[in-house]
Amino acid sequence: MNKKIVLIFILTIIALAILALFSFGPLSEKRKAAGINPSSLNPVSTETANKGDASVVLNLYCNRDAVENYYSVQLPQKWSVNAGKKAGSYSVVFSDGNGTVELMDVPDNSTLELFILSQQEPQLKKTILGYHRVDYKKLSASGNEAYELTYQSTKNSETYETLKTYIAGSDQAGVLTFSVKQSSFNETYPLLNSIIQSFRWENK
Amino acid sequence: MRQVFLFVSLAIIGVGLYLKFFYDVPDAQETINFFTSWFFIIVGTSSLLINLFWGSPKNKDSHKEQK
Repeated sequence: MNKKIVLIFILTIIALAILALFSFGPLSEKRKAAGINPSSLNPVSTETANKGDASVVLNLYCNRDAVENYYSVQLPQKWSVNAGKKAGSYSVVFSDGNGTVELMDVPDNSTLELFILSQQEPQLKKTILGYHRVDYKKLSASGNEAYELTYQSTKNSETYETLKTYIAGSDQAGVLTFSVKQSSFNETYPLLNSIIQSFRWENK
Repeated sequence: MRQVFLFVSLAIIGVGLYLKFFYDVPDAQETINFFTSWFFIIVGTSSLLINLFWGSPKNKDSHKEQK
């Protein structure tokens, strides 16, 4: 048999084996991590804002992980901000709770609201212990169409209230999720609302 | 026959490139899309190369034998 063909055949088998490792094997985590831009984790600027009685220092993060879906968001300086599991996401931890800022793909054959009500909420009902919808409303976040879903859940026998806001974008949607202990939810709400209103798509 | 093989190879590469760059991938299917698109591109490219090299030296040998 032609030696070149044998060589191509062997190289193909090797390439497919490497592909399988990068897709499903131990190297898949490296592939996912490579999608996260390290500069997205460094705050670009700092601003002090008055929220009720206290003033809060907010860091501005510009996320450049997903092409066509660049965004910026302000997060309090005293919150712990880390890269999320997926490219284009942040994971935050604060004294009374935690949260995420992430991107979500909305299928072309659906609208954001239809997708939330037909796909997202049923999924939350299935996966979250003690899910109970408190509120659902349409709003505007920095001029973008947005939907805010508020629900209660139970974790370690403590009740949490979660504010999940979906902000429409030209390609994907921005999803800001903040879970706060129910006892301090009303106190934290103005700050959470200002974070939601600080979300801006950068490629518009 | 060789033209059919060439056409199939190009079609496989085309499907791979479509899945890689143009298909709107749902969030939960990113891994399977990564695997499938690269699988088609690799298999299509290698079959294209095999098609280019297939039989070339054999034809030369058969020419020599005929002479």
